Amino acid sequence: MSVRNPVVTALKTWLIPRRYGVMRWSYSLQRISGVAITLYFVLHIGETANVIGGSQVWSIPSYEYARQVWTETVEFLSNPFFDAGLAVLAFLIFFHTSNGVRLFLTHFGILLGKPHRPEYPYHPASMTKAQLTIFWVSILLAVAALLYSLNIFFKVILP
Amino acid sequence: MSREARIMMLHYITGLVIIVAGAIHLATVFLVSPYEESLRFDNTPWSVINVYRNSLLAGSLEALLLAVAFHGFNGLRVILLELHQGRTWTRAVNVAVTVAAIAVVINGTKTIFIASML
Amino acid sequence: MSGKLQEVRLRVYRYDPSNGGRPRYDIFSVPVKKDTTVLSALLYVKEKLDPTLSIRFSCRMATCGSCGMMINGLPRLACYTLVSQLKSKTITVQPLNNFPVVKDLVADFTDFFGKHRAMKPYLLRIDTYEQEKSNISYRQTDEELLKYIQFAYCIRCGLCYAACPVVATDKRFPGPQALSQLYRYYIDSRDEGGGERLEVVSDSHGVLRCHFAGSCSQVCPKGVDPALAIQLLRRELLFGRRTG
Ligand code: SF4
Ligand code: FES
Repeated sequence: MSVRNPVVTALKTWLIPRRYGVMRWSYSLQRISGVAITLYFVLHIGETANVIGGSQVWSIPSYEYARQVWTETVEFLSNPFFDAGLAVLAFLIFFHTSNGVRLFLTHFGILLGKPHRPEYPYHPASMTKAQLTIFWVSILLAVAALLYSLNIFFKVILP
Repeated sequence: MSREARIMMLHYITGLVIIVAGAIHLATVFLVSPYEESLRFDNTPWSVINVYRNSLLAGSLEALLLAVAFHGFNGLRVILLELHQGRTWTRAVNVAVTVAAIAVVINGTKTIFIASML
Repeated sequence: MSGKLQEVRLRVYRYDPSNGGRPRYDIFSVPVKKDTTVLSALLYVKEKLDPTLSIRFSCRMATCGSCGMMINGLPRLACYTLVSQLKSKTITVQPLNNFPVVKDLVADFTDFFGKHRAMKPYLLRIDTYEQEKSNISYRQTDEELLKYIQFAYCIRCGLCYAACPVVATDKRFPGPQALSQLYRYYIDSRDEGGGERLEVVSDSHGVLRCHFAGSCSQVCPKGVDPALAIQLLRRELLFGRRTG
């Protein structure tokens, strides 16, 4: 067997959901969005620490100092690159949440079909219409969130 | 129930907490007042410092912080354990993920705590 | 129509461990009819063009589960896949993903069968004497049968194992085949393994690592729907209806 780099195998299987149908896409998107949101979460906690003057502050700072640090932070963060990043993140957050509800229910055995005698052509009972609907609703919600935030940040659609 | 099953149960529960607390968080930033106004330090009703001073909202932020820290870092742990198997790796991943989650929670809790007293 | 011959290009993965071990692809031109299967095309190659090609097969009717391979990127049974259904002029065949390769298209099923065996794929009874020696039969109602019969259709072909994104990176994950067989016995009314059966898969590389990508059920040639069995198994582990 030609030895494959495990990281390359992992990235390929995680990031390329081709050929196995819609649920494989949901798996990849769920994974990518999860990692992205966690990364953002860590940065976001670091960034909001500037409300009290920064992560290194351990006692109550002067009100004026905190106010100034925060105002500078907001100015620093208000540039189109961060805004675009936030818009993508809105997409990922809404997808992950809504698709997560589907996974939550199916992991508990809800929204699944019943085991039956397989008859050709086979339709997996694990993949019900209800689930497909939730998946596509998740995509719709995510796109709506993307457009909403793009509009807020860039005023592209409604002035 | 096995240890892993208990962890995953918490994963589901924190997921639900995030839906509620996250909705409150997004609503205070985007819905109840214009986005620019909620980013201000003070002087607007939903400005940053006013949100932290409201103990209900601050409490919900703390809940969100704890839940996302658990849910996110547990997800990361699962992915890393799937990447490679072995005793040392498992232990390293568990320690790294726990330390990182605790550090983020401490940093965030401190912010919420101090900001509410500013 | 079915008698008309057409040419198709077969791009075959070749690997010989005794030969430096560098994988390569050989291209063969094979005449096919409307009802030619990929397996018969490969056997044509072996008989007429290159006798060194290694393939594994037996029943030629999707029953023995030994001819699984990647055909145009998807795990399929070669004897159950028509060349014409693929609708492509070039057909790429590779050994199954997620399996080590023995030679050419032959995959090593040692781990796969080992994981299956670890699930104790047989009825567990408290009274083993009665099970072995007496000639009473265990009665079962239709509903009890319906709970597991779908999963009992498994032919251990390993297609689901090749499709699973968790198996791809987690060596310790039992995989869709083993997990669905565990559920098949766990839920069988004649089985007395109960909650102890679940212990094998309750750790951090067990059933909880399934992320429900559903690829196993997409590719299963027998309609077993392993993903369904795994979700039901997970529910049992999380809520432990039956124990001890
Ligand atoms: S579950 Fe289906 S795909 Fe998997 S080994 Fe059994 S028959 Fe093959
Ligand atoms: S040869 Fe037996 S399943 Fe294909």
